[in-house]
Amino acid sequence: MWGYPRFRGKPVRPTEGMLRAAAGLFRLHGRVGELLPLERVLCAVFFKEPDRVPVTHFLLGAARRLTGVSYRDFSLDPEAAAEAYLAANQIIGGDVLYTVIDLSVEAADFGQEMVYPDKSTAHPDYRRPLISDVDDYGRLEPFDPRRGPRMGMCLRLAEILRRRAGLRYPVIGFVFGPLGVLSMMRGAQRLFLDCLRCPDKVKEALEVITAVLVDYARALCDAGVDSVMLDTLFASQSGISREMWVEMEGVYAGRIAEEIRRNGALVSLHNCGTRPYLDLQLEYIRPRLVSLADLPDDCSSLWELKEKYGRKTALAGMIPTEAFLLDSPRGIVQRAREQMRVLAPGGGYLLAPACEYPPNGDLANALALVRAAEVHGRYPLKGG
Amino acid sequence: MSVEADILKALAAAVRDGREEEVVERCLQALDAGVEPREVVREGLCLGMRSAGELYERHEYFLPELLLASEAMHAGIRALSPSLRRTGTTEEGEAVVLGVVEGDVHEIGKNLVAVMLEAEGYRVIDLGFDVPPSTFAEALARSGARILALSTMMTTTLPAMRRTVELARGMRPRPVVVVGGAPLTPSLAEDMGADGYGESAAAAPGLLRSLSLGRA
Repeated sequence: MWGYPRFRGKPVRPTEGMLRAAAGLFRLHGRVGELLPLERVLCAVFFKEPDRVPVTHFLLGAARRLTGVSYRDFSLDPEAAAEAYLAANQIIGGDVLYTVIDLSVEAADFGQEMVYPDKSTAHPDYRRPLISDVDDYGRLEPFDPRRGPRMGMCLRLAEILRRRAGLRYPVIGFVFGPLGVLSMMRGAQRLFLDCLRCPDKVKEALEVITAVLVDYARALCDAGVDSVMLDTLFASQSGISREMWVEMEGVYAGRIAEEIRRNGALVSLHNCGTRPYLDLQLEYIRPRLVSLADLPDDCSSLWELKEKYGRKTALAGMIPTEAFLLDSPRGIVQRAREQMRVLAPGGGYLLAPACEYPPNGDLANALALVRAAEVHGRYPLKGG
Repeated sequence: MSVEADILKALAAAVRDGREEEVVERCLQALDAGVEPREVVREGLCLGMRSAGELYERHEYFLPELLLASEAMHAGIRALSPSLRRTGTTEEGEAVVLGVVEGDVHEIGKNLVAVMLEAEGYRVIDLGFDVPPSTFAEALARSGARILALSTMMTTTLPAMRRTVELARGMRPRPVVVVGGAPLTPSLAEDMGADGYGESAAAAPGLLRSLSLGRA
């Protein structure tokens, strides 16, 4: 397999205009033949209808069950993670490969002590936060993410996926937003209070974190990913106010997004918060693809979401993650059909869970999700 | 309005706005004016916290503002503690055993539920996070609490929540079990055997009232 050609160590990528033109050609090809996953996703992202609705199962921790690897190995060994992700696409299906492992990757490399449970996602040891006092905000030091144990692992994962999958699948890198990274080192509760009590100290740390994340995003692009997905969870009514998000994360996340675009990759966004501030995130981050769990705070229905935002950014989601625990495969198919009926016409949509597939969820429901796109997501959509 | 009422009104506003130092001053001012400590808690601190909860439900407050109000309320309770102990009014209210289930470390939601219940007069026994089912059971037995409130933010810890609910349902007298957290829905809560589901921290007191679980 092969990836992008390289010049002086950096991938040589098509421009956005070339991608848009290619999407038009893929749309025509999709009328008479089966597209590759990368072609299908590109069509959708550039608001063309491909052969069928692209789908991602978002199997992360759940994928390791397909290869029998431990959670710890999955979290720390790029080969183990790559094998799991490739197995997921081979066995379950799906059109996307991700490099995301968990939300603690960046914080771990800043020095936050971690816990690696046997059967659950790695997480910070909240009894020993790296930032235990407000004065610790000023003690964070920048570093080369390529040398970080966990960020370095994700970079190697990206390289492995690109090499093994070639240009068949889009590979999406992942960077947790600066405020989210900081919450992993301070604890969200104390961080939120600090944002009100001593915002300047918090911003001191955010500057350092953002500089490292900008470099990390650049390194992911160098590794050959097609897109880098930012996660700005707190930009929602379940997080912080709109004004606070702009001040404490929006401006910093925007810098990371600029770096991604400067390196020729597409910007994606994930926000699984309740009633996210999609308008603000589009303004500050300008993503080409947004993965959501809930309607934005200014929309009251999927129809309104499609009408208001459906031509501004491609959308992904929004099958509730608890459905994969509670519902039957038939129920998953029904939910998928309802979402596709509203969000898929005209392209600009990827069928997906609202967030990471439950690590302990029934994999039959992941199969059902993919099957729903393959059988009921053929363009032109019936009953749309 | 009387001087005492003015002080309590200002105290409630200070809690709502998260002005911790002023909360402490107003509490001491209220005591000096002859207001009973219990009344300071009820008509000052708790009222202010409920106001903050209402602003949160209206999306005018968010987690940081609610947490700041919570800190201010607890600062007031600490200032009043000596007086509350002297008058023997520290152990009032219906007891609730509360915690984050085994394997989960996310505490914000649980902490906000605790403060909203305290604002309504419940006596909260907070077990923290990563709490095994047996620890919940021991706390229920030791305290005699009739209410068990469980929180989780992760799907991987739902089995632990289910085991805790099952253990609680086997106890005699059987406590009322309510659950809440991001991955939960009313149907999932019912499937687990819980008696109620809380959509948000601010909704917790209303949920207990709807289950006819009032404070003493």
